[in-house]
Amino acid sequence: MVMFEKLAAVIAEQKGMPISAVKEESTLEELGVDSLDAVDILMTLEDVFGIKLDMRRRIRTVKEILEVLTDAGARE
Amino acid sequence: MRRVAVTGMGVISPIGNTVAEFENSLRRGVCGVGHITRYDTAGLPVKVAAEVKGFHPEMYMEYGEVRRTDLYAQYAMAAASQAMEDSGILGEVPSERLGVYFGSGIGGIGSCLKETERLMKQGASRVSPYSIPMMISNMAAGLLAIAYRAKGPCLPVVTACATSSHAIGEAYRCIRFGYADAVLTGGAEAGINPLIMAGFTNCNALSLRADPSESSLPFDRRRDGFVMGEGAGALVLENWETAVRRKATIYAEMVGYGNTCDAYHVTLPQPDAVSSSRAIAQAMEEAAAKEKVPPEQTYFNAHGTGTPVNDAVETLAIKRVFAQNAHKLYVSSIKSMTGHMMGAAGAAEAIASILTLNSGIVAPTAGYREPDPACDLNYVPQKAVQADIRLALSLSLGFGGHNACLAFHKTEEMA
Repeated sequence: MVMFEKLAAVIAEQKGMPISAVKEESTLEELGVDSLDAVDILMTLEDVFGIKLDMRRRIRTVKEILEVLTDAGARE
Repeated sequence: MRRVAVTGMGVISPIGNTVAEFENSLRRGVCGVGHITRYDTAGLPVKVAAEVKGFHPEMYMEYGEVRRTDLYAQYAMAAASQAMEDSGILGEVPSERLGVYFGSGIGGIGSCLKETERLMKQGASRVSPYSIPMMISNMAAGLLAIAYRAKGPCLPVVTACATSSHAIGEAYRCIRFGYADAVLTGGAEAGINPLIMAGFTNCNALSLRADPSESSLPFDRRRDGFVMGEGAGALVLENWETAVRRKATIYAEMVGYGNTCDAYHVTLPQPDAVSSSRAIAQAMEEAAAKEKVPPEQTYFNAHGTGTPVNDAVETLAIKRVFAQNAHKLYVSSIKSMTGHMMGAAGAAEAIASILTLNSGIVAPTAGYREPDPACDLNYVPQKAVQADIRLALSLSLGFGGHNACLAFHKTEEMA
């Protein structure tokens, strides 16, 4: 869950919304996150977790961002 | 051809972030120049600028949008939202008949600098995905079109310091020739950063005077360069018939526009002022179709930057058009108060001109004290004056030799 919390904090900070508004099942569209925001989020996550992420992968949900993190070997 | 009404105005400026504050400062001759706060000027020759104060973009945009827009676009959104609200045009014309002609001289240069620094320090993979939309100078127009679902003609103009005058002029023609029923127009600029200031310093364009109240001195013998300003100005221009039908407040009728180029030098104005005077003459000629206004009732809002060469050449341009009548005009430069707002200057000055048509109060060339033989017109020194002004002309001149002149006429018919 720590990974999700860190991700939720990044999204919340970017969109100026409460962390509680970000759910694992939220779609990026619901959160007002567009393709540019998504890359910005991934870049921030690279710094947070100290890893390299696949910037070209299409992501539509918060859950899919978690998958990108897991696939890249991010540790909680 | 259709008539064009001005039905909305908005401004973010070094002397006020609403039209009411801006007007109040113009009347009182308030100088918006101060010591630079945006960066450390230690060791640098230029110490002063006319900065926008107390600006809160969150008043006009969502937080998420603020993060991904350059300051110049934030100024644009703020001034435009004031103008749109003022006009009440939204929903009154179809989306496809609402246009946006909004420019910037330099665009998102602050963002460009920041991203360049990231590139150098952190590498290419850390350059923000927002960097391009933040730095390109058409994005203010794009953002405004999105904000107001304006699907008609959209034209971001870039003519350096003449940018927003050309934008307004082209918007006027757009309505006049029936391509749109209303156009949101103007310009924005945010160039007070070490790069832009160094560039202008090194082409000897900026004032090196250290006293903020004694540095922006248009037409004064002591002038030694312009003072950098910033901000945005926005107007809603509208088909006259549409404005009358919906009983909108009409601040002025736009009656003329001239657009010429010196085709002479990248930064210097043509010394004989042939082309700049022709821009004035074109606007005057178009305005004369409405009414031939005597010079005593004409306000000439000068470009008046305060560089030694501009003010003398501009004075010559005015004399070329008005000949012996030039001395009867009220001429003033509000850059004595706002500094040079660059791509936003023309729009802020158009608003000042329209305010004069409504109030009969001519804003002064504040700080003007010592006459220069090369500048011998009535520059309305120091204090605002009351006059029965029926026609206002506003001239803007930009690097690249771009000349634009706008003409506004006092509204007589009640809408």
